[in-house]
Amino acid sequence: MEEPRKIILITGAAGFLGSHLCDRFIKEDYHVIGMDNLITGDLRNIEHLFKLGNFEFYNHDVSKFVYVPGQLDYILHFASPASPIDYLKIPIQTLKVGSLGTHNLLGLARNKKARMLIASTSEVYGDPNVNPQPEEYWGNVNPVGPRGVYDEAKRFQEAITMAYHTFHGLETRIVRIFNTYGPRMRLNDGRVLPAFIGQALRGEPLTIFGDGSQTRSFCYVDDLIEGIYRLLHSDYAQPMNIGNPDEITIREFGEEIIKLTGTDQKLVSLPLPTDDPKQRRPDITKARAILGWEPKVSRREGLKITYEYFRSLPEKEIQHKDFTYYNK
Amino acid sequence: MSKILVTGGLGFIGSHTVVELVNSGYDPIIVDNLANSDIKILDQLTRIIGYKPIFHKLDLCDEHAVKKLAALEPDISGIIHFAAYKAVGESVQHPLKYYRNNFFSMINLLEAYAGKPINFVFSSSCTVYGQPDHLPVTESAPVKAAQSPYGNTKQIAEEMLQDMIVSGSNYKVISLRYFNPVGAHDSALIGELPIGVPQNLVPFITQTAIGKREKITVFGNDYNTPDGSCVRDYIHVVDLAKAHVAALKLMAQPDYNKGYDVFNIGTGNGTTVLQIIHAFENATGVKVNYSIGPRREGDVEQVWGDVTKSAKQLGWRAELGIDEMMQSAWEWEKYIFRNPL
Repeated sequence: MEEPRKIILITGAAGFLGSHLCDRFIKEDYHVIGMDNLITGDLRNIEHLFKLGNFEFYNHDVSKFVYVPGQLDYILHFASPASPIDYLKIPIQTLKVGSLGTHNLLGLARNKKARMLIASTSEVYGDPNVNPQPEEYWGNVNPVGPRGVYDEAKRFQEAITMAYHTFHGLETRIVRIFNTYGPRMRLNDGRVLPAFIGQALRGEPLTIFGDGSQTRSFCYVDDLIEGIYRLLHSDYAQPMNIGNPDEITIREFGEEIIKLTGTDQKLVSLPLPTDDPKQRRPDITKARAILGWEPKVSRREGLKITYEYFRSLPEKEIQHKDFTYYNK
Repeated sequence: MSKILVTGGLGFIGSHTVVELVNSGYDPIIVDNLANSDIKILDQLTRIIGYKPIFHKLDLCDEHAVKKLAALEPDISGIIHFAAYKAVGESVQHPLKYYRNNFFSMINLLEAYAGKPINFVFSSSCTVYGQPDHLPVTESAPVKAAQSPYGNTKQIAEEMLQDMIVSGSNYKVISLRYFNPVGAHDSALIGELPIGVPQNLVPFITQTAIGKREKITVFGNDYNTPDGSCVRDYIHVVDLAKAHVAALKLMAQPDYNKGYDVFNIGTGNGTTVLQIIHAFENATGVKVNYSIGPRREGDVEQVWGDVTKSAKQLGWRAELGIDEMMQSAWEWEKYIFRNPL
């Protein structure tokens, strides 16, 4: 007899990562239930799935009650504002979806005996004192700083998820996601990569904060999704870093973008904002050993695809300026 | 604001009703499975009403999905149930598909909200009258043997709703028997989106006028009517949409005490196919190529509605005439020609 389809609930389904997860699990022949309240998500990211019989979508805020009758095998909790300009605008919702939303979904997972994976973040490391960051590093976070609403929501989310695992024996997975990029990022989400590409497309100088010596490492979205897929199906319940350890300074990155877009823009420098992490690079020893995973897509390749995506957007969106970004 | 679930809310009549609900201060919640509609209509609605309405994508035939919906949207006061398959010809070829879809969806919905005081508006059709013995046809005219599985789903659904009310139910139900809805919103941002060859006259006319179709075939000119072509009661979709709002308002009145009722939703006037073609040409100044063909099987000769009861009890009356129907349908056709969704 054919096995019935596995049913997976994906919150934040219309967002950048959520929509790519929907694609992946549809491709693996799951029945996908997407939820999103569309505050920062965009239905255009999942429009192409709407005609499919094994894709449902609910416009819903998971900080409120969540109910799924019948079978449910997996929950992926990816609902949250994730870029500084968003969570600075909606700090309370950010804290609620990480805390109340996670609590609701853990209850649902327990009720359904479903396995739950939560999207955590390299932000739990704050402005790290060690580089690269292994999972054992406890972090350096200012709870009442401007980014605290996101960082602490995610730290609480990890804590309650681990508590459900140890106290209730719930099957849980925690992925700490480092900077990820790719198609369906918002051009104006305030992060450095879309900001740079947007500025290049509009023929403006590229803005760096401080002297540009702070480092970041960028993971292409397909690599990240593969890592999450493997982690979900592993038996590893401790937090796991997924990211690309290929580190680059913001200044060098700006120069790469200028080269890629073939324009002759210059880099200009503005003062560094509060609590901007100076370096961020994942230690992926565990992902390599336990999941047999490592990033496959080079920055050169990934940037090219992402640039083509941004270039294909309507001119109106490219010209839309809302770029107080924080070099996330 | 009173929340109203609109199933099939991205379809032709559904989308226009969403607009009229917002105009009347209701808060529509759209449910659609996109089986016969386009997600771009959600953006078009956003442009008309000024905000993005709540939208859930699910198949009402999926019992679990409908239960989820009822859990996530517990505090609605009404349901307008448009979602259904509606192609007569296809229903003859695939009757079980029609019975499964049109019944399972409605039963799932009714069961999911059982126990809550909900005002339910059902999309019925003048097709239940067949060829009436007297014209204009009143709501008390006998329901004739259905000509197609599609028509039968409307008849049986009406009976199911009545039986549910008789048994004692939380619901109040009004069935609206539509005559022939045509036209489009005057913004020209929404309208009818036929998939493939249009089964209905007016989209066929507009597609011919714009050059998508070579010519129209008029099915028969030897009927016992003023010019020999079939007679129908064409109603502007915006008027039709307003009838749903009127039905919700009627059921919400404190002294309303009927469990089930049914209303004709038409203009009360019959117009022949040839008259419509000429009205289109006069209203738009565009000539359309047509020829006379043989009668089409299953077509009734003539039907138009008596709308006295709707005017008196529903307090609703069609306000837009054939010219407005033709002009708005033409504006919409031109809009989607220039801006394909």
